[in-house]
Amino acid sequence: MPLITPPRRLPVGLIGSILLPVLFLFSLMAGTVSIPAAEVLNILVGKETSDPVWQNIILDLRLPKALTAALCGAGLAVGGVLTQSLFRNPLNGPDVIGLTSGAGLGVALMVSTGIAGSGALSLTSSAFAGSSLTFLLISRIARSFSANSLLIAGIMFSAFASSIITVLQFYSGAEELQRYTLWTMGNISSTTWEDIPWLAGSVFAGIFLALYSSKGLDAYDLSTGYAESLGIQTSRLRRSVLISAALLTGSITAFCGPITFVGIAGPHLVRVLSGGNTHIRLIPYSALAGSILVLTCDLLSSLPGPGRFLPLNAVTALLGAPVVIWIIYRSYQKP
Amino acid sequence: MEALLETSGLSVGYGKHVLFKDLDLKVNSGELICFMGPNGSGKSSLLRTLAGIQKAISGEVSYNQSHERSKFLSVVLTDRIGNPGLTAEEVVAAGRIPFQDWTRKLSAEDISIVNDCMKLTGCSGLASTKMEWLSDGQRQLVMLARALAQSPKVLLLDEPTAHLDLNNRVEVMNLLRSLCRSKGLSVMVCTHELDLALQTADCIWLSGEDDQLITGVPEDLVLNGAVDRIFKLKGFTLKTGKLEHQISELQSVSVEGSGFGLLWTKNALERKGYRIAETSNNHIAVVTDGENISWSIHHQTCHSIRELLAILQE
Repeated sequence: MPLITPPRRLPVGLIGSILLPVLFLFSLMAGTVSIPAAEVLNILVGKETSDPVWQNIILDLRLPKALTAALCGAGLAVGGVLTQSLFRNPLNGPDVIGLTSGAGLGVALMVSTGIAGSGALSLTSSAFAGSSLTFLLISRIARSFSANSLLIAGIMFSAFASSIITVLQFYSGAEELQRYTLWTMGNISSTTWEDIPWLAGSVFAGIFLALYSSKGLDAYDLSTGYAESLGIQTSRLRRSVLISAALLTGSITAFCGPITFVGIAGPHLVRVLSGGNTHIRLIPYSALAGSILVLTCDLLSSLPGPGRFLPLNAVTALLGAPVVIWIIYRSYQKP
Repeated sequence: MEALLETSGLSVGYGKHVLFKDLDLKVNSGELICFMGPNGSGKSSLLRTLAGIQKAISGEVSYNQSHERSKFLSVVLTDRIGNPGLTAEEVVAAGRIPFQDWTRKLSAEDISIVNDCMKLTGCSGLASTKMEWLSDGQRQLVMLARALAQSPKVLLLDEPTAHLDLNNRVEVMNLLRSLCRSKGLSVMVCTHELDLALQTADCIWLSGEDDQLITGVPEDLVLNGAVDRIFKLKGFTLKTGKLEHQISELQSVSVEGSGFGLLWTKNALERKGYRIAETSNNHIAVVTDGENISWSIHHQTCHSIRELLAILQE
């Protein structure tokens, strides 16, 4: 009996759950000072190490960074799945609902007016304020309009926000300009142990909410009418999907800046490689894929040599775009 | 008979635009209803309202069932599938959603229902094909299988045969009728296929005259002229079931013969505008000899109707 197993199906879940810990370990080992795997594991389980400096490097620098990378990737990829399904457009990333631009606007405003000090936390709170306000605005629109007009509203808001940012940039000094520009490049290395619980909390809450909506999204994949006839209240579904996408994008953008591309590439990789469309699998697989992507990109961003790092956003697209194009080219050929 | 779906004072439409007003309808168990009417007369809107997808302006729809609507009512809509990357099988399996928990794990029963429904509509071979690669007709068969997989007692279909070939059209209508008979389903089909509707429906709903529905047994609606009135049929006499050709007075022919040969010869002559008379200078004899048919006219013998028409035109 042929069933529910499309052809060309890779055990994506299995591959992902092997690859993720391996990459995670790699990212703890690699850096200006390379540390052997055995020592890394010793430090992680709290055993004595031959070099106490290594312990500091791992626990204070690399571990928070690697955790941030994994959380960011997971959250952005799930955000991508949600917005792609909600707007029925495979090209959507989680930034289409305008949250990223809102966060950007928040940061630009605070930086250029000098309200945001030099600390990382103030950037975070500016971004969070920006994206939260945007979310309130967008969800007000979502209450009374269809998914399509919500998409247009999101795009319009992004355009509106970026022109305000341009005006602000025009009037701001070199130092402010640099701070803002650095923020837009995406950065996962400035999170501290104090930030991690917040980031992890919102990413897990967002993913959990997404899983909760997954059955509804399967029905929504057919059409709004079919979903209603299958007993799904589509307006409620839209609201919970929007909240979950906002939670994921808003918090990640606040802590790490706008990280592009992972939200599009992660879900696409999973859809093509696994051949399945059921959200209860699509969501966790995409989370794995997103974590793997960001960890890989982070490893690659340190390639230029000791002390120099490529901006994360440059690497995500540089690596991701050709891969995605190749995979889509392969899969969209008629069998 | 048990009514599975009933409306009382139901008004359908959008805001101030009222399509139907104060409808009191009844859909009985085991009944196949064909809903006909011109484009834009509100067939789809009424169907969506009966299915609970669209809000009624006033009045209500009741189902006479104890569990949730999605467990006994399913639909085939004209909606485009939002995610064209879904495989046919995934779409049919989506029909089981009301019976699944959040893990969407398919039980052995779910799997056999999905397979049976695909077999029933003849789309088992398409199981792992993506919806975007299917033809419009194949897609309709898949959507029908999906609706059946929802184990409905009430089935509402919006033009389910619009893209099907003649064979599949008849097969789908027969399938629907046999489901009504054997399982006591109530089926309501919006359709433009007058001939199929007249032959298969137990009851016909007609829309398009005002904000009311005309309902009745098909034959009654033909005989009392309701169908003619609604469709303003041009050149088609429904009572004889034939197209009425505009007869030119130019030429008359007389035909003798029997069987299918005679039938189709007359068909061709009427289409070309000849008047068929008892006697005429143009006398055609249709000679049937086993499988072979020939025509003789003016002492000439033709072997096809094309030749015959050519001689007549000279």
